[in-house]
Amino acid sequence: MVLPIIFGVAALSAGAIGLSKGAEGAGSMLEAEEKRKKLIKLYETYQNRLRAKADEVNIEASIYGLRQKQIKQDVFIRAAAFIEKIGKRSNVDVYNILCGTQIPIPEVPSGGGRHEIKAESVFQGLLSSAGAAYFFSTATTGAVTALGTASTGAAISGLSGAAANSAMLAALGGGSLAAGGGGMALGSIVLGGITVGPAIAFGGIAIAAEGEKALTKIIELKGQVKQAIAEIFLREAVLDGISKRLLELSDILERLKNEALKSLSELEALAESNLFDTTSDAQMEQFRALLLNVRSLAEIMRIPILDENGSINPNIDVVISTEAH
Amino acid sequence: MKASYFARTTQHVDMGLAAQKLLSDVTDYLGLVETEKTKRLEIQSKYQVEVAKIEALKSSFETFLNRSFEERRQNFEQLFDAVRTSMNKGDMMSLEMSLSAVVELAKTSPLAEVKTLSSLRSAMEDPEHEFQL
Repeated sequence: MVLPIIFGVAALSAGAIGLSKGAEGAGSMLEAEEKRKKLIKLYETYQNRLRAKADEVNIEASIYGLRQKQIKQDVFIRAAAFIEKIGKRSNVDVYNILCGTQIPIPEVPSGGGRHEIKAESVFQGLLSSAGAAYFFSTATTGAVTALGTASTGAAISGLSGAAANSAMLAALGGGSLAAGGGGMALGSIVLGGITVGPAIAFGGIAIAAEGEKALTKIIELKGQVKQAIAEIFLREAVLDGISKRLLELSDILERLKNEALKSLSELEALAESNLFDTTSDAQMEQFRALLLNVRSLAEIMRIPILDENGSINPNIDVVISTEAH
Repeated sequence: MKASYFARTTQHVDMGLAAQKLLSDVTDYLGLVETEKTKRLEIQSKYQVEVAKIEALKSSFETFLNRSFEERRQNFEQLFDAVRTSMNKGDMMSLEMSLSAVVELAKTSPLAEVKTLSSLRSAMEDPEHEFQL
């Protein structure tokens, strides 16, 4: 009766390998899921950092817009009032006042890296498990039935029905209880083990295969997150550039405003005292200086922070919003 | 006896098919392990290249902007010194020229220049690009 033992050992070995592979696969899937969560969390941290920086630059842009409005009021409207006071006409342009900036936040695919076990592969694994169980079960019972002998000494192959079944189970249990073996009860357990072992093997291999796929998915997600973080750093650099440009233009506006107001204040004082004299070369130079400074201010006010499309780099389009004022 | 013989024969057929399936599944699994390993290496190398490109772009972008804004800051300082001097002297010709230079410099944006540089870099990387002269 060596054949049932061979099947038994083979089934047990297969079961052990299946258990090991299954545990490995399940471990890989759990590890992948943990890594996925960590990567998404890491990415979200950088995404929030970029949002905070974008908000800061947006506020800086709004402040620049307020400065433009203030200059229009403090210099342009005031200069227009002065010109009217001296009996001349003027026209104040409508300007596009900066309201804010927006920068696109890079995204990683939603649910990226999550490995979904395909029903098809699980079904195939189950079919294989069932096939293997059937194979080892039928092979073992077939071999015992064909070659074994009952406790009465009769060949099992010569028996039929319940007698054949009992004799086969007793043979698998190492002989009948009366003969010192494990009897039908042990035989049933042995046959069960022989059936379950291969099923575990196939199931384990199917799980291990899914674990391998899950690990690959996580490597893909890791790459996507690294790329997205690099793009976040690039966008931060772009925002720094916008911030520097806003600072530069603000500084120029402020300096020109101060120069313009110096001339305007002096001219207003003269007009207030009815001392403004169009025949005075010095006063006319003062008036010309005012006009030059105001026109320069107007030109600076018209400069867009970026180009008309808000495009800096072919890959990054910053949205610049303005309002007519 | 004939029935018993038939039963044993069908069992042998099932055993053969199942053994074949077992072998095929194990072979498939081993093949899949190798395929997935190769895929992972390809993915890693693809993203390494992409990340390196973005980092290089960011680095050149930052270097250019820092240098450019610093140079411009110094130029604006000099131009506004000239504006003040002209105002104090009442030299309107010089004032007009200085203010015009301020406006012209302000109109050029380092951010726009970066775009031009970036386009130029793309053109250099494109083997099919034709420069219109």
